[in-house]
Amino acid sequence: MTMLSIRNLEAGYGSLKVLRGLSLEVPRGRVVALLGGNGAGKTTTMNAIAGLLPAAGGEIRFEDRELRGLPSHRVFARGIALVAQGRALFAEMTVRENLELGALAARSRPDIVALTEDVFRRFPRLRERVEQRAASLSGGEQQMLATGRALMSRPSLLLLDEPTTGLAPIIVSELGRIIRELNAGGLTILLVEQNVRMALQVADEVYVMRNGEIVLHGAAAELQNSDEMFSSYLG
Amino acid sequence: MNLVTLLVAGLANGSLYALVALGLVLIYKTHDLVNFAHGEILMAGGFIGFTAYQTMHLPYPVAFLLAIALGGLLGAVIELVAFRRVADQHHITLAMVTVGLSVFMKGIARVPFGTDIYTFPPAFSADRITLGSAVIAPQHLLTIGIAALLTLLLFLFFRYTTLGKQMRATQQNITGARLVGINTGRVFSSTWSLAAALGAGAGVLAAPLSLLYPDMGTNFLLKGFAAAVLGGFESVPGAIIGGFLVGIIEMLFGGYVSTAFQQVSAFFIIIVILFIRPNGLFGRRAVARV
Repeated sequence: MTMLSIRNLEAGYGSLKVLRGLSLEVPRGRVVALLGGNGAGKTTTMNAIAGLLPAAGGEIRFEDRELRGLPSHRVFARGIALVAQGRALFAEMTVRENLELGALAARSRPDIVALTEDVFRRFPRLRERVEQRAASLSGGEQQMLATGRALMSRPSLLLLDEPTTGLAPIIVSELGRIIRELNAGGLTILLVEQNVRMALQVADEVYVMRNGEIVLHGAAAELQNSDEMFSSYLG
Repeated sequence: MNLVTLLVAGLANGSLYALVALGLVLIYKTHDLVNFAHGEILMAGGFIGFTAYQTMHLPYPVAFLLAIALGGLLGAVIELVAFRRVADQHHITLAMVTVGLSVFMKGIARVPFGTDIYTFPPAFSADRITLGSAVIAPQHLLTIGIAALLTLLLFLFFRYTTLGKQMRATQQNITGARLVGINTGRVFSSTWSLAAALGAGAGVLAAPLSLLYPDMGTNFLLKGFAAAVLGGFESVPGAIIGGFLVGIIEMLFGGYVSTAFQQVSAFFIIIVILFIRPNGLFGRRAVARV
């Protein structure tokens, strides 16, 4: 069953059109990867879904209700959490405070202690850093904190925008394992990646976009060794 | 002059500067904007308190709370009418909006109050307290006490309430705030309310110590601005300590050196301090936004 359905989405910055009629579907309980080169419009797509960027046209339906035009806090309230590129942490706050803020605006009154414990179980490194400022964490730890903060609201759809950028290979594979674990726990995930190998390993389905449009779509297992995949990706 | 007398008077003025500086810092941290109309918010608070206490004969605490409440409302209205639609514009544009607002509010105040100068009687007419050779005005103690109480409440608000935490989060990273579902529009509105309520409260406290007239805000804006700069403009404790320092420096200078330069003495000290610490006493490295 489709959880998120995007049709003919158009968005951009001022007169610059980045998305020109993008369509994709995210089925419930799956990991869908959105791939593409620099400037293809991946982050624009994520920001438009999350309500950070107003879309100019098309529709974004989530659980059969329209999202387009809603401000970010209303999108969040529907159960969608975005882990943005660059992580957007509260740099001067501690790990604990960052996590707490992830839950404060959540749909139902959250049990912050239990949710925090859950994040620490998934990311034990964060437990060791709990009273440290977010700015003092390493890149990998910051990515874990940003992901943990998003999980604090118990989203039903998690949007991950290039989580592996700038991370060491060992952290990348750890992150891949955690994405699979989260998905096994019932979370639906839309993953934007530059790291094609990692994305193909964790995703069920893959979309490839170029110049603001989808140019290829298929099951990750089929695309793993396809020449078409790499030629469309590389342009 | 007696040192204790000067210190208490300096602390009283300094608490007012600290309250003004707090309002400026709150807006600055949220919008990267210096609110040049903050002195007029203080003036409005002074006149609201004056009208409630002198004209309508309400008890002083009621008049004070009324000024704070209406000040908060005024802040929310300013945000809604003057800033919500232009919030994405360049910060110079926004600063110009506050300058226009300042002139506008002074003009509005002249309609009922003219250009007269009003005196606001002290909250209670107790005698001056003498401690040895020191003379202390009860109004000074009241000012210091209320300013300290407001600062404490503000600290608790930011530390323990959901809205307070969300306001701090929005100051640190607005995208991050949106990502965790914070209604940033509501945060902006609340920030303006809070800053204006503090300014209006400072106005009621300031009125008996200075005098009440439509242009009274300018001097307090300058001193509050100086206090905020001294504290680093990003720091809440910095704004408070900066306010105390400006108040005490100008009292001591007036008492021991010369009253002729009393009003500018604090600025002189600030220039010296900023030579040594360009980012203020509590400031972090400057980040340019052009």
